[in-house]
Amino acid sequence: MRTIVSTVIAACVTASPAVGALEVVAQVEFYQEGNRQYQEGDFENALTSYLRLVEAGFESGKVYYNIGNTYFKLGDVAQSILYYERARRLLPGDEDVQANLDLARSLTVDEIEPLPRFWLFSAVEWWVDLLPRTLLIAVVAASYLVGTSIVLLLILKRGAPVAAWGKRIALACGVVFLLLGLNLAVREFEVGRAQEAVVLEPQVDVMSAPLDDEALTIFTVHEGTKVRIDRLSEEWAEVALEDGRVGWVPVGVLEAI
Amino acid sequence: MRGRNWVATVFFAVAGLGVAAPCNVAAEQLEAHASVTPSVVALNGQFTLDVEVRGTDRMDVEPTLPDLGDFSRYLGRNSSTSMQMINGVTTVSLTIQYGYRAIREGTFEIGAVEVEAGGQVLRTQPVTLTVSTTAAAVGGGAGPENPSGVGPEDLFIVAEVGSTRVYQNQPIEVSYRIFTRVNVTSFTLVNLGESEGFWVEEVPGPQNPEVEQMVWNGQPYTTAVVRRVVLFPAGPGTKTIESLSVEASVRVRRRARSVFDDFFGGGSLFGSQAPTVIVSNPVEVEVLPLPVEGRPRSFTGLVGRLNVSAAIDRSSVETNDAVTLELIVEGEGNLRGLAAPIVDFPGDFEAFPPEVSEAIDRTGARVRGRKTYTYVLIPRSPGEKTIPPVEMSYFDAESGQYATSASEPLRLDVTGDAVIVAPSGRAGVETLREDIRFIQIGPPNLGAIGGSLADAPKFWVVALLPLVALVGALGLRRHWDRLEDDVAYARGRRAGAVAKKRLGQARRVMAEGDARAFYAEVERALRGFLADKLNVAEAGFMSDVAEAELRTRGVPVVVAKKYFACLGECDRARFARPSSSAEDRSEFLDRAAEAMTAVQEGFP
Repeated sequence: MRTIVSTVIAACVTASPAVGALEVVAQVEFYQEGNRQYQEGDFENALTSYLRLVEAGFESGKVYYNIGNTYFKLGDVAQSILYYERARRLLPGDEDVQANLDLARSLTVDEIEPLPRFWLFSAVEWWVDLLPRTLLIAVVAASYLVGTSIVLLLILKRGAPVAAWGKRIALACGVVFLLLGLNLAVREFEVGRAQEAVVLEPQVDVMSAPLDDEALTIFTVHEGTKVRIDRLSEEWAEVALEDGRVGWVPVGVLEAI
Repeated sequence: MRGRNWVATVFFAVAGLGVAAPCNVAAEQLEAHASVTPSVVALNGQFTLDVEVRGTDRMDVEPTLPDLGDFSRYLGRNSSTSMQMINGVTTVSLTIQYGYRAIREGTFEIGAVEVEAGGQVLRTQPVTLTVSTTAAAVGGGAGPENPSGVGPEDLFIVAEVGSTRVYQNQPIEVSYRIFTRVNVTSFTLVNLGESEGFWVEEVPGPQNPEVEQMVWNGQPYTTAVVRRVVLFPAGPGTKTIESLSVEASVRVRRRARSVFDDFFGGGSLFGSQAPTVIVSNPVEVEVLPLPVEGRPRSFTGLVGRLNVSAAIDRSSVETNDAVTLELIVEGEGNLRGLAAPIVDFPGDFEAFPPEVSEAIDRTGARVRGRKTYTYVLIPRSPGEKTIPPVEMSYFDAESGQYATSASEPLRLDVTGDAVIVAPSGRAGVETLREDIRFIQIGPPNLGAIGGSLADAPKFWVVALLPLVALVGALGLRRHWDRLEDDVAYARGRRAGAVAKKRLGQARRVMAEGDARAFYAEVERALRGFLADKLNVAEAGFMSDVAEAELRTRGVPVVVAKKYFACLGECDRARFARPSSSAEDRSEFLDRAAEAMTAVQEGFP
């Protein structure tokens, strides 16, 4: 029995991609090269370096943040907003990301007053984004492991003198695991998260229906504006602005965050 | 305009009163009547609403007029009474004239006017009024109501527009030119035609417009530009430059309609003065949006031309001494609407908001001018300072391109000691410029795009291992509980271990060479094992009962037989003289162990 378990563990641990680890090392070099070029003021090449990393299929909040900075320095505010938003997904609550995103937003044409939100939604969002990912994973894993270990001990050593305390700790671990585990699930598997996108075209007419008819134009948005995608067909997307206005735009003018 | 007529009426009224005052007028039937003259009026032309009451010369209260504010503006009122004597019947009437100016085009019905006179309430019939621009464009209407008799070709106004396809904020020059073949003595601009969506720059003209002779449609005309403006369209789209209305006084000589007209026409030596409203043509302008592509950051919104130059009044200065920076922006276009440039002063300069002066020259074909921004700078620390170039971009409508003008960077030698300005001891940290925060340079923690925690095998190990352990622990717990609570289960589980112990004892005894003790020990092991398995007392152990029990538990007969054969051998050996050799005993021990294993496995 014991040997089977240890074999399973060994198999799982060794199965983690050794090749992938090597690749990551190579990509980190692109990142460092991009950082060097950025500090030298060579933003074009810094962007190329960072984007190579992304094209290779890797991402990280810091990389997205740096790409956002590079686009900003190159004068492309819309792209910088897109990448800051991407960075914010991975690094919620990061002050640098938020500060730069705010600055970039202040340079866009559309000034959109967001609708007041129900406080409960804001509270839930605050809670979901409260902890950095690594810390969240560590806390969830720790509470899970400690909780199950204590339950294990309680099962095996019934009537131990510390059983009452053990039960309390296990209960606390269970509560922490449930609350933060839900957070982690939402963040890792994008459960219940709206799909959002950034307008990249300088000026986009928003239609009242998915038809290319000038008469249907209900309002116009400009580059850098963030929208929520409600419905998506092959050519058109129904988008909602933060102030609640809704309309259709061609899919090509948007890039999903 | 109809003054003459009512002067005549008043005359008659006065004359009539003088002659026929004593006549009986009380029996008169009261009648109210409303009329509008002219019934077709030019936009911005005047018309009169006459309310007449026959049969009395006074009204109890002022008539209640319908609301005409929609399409006209009230000018004033006049009243007159008249008395007529026809065949000895005297007719008295009171007429109130209300003057209006038509301000909206269309056909309107003027509802009933309520008149209270002689204790009666009288209502007039509604009348209709037509206000038309065509009547105006043809010179105030050449119909029978037109008092001047001036035809549309005799007097008109044309809006001359420089260009009808322009970029946003590109200046459009508009001149309003009067063409006339009649003698215009004076004119006033009645309605300037507020054009929506334009920034208007009035071009001042001479007090008396310059009169020229021009040929228009093959006809000679006397023309003059009466108004000149430069318009800057504020946004893209199709915009309309509204028409301008001019009321011109035309001196006309005309045939007298009656001897009284002629008599009271007044000053007819030079003909009469007839006001005529003429309206220019509205012009549609297509305004193109400025291209977004290639728009520089320093774009000021100006369409035209710009040149930026900067100068400081000296090249070296002591700290805390003021330096004057003069920034001169010269060019064409909407300079008045130009926002102040952003000058990136070095951080240790104190700069005061600039003093702005502008000189706009509108006399030429284009609006050109110069704006001067005068900054007073106070350097606070010594060193060689550079005031960076000031960039201002504009859109050149002729080439359809953006262009940028920049001033030269200025060098300034600051000598002296650094001055720390602390006006009130302490001050907040001043933000000099806003910039994004620096990039992150720590380890990037790369992950696969779209990947999640579940991709890592470690995740599954951490997630599942505790669950497996829990299931195992629960099983173990149950086993232990049964061992405690269920004697039969506990004995059965423990039987093998006990038997093994006893067989070990037997092996030890065998080594000592005591054959009887050996067989006794083996028998105890065999019996004990079976008793434990079947959960019966070892003491009252009956072989045949046990055999039957084994069979009911599903142990094969052969296995049971072998087992009992071993037991029998033990019995025999205990009572007979043990003659077997050491090898026989060892082989027997193996057989006994084998039989036990077989029974153990035979149990379901």
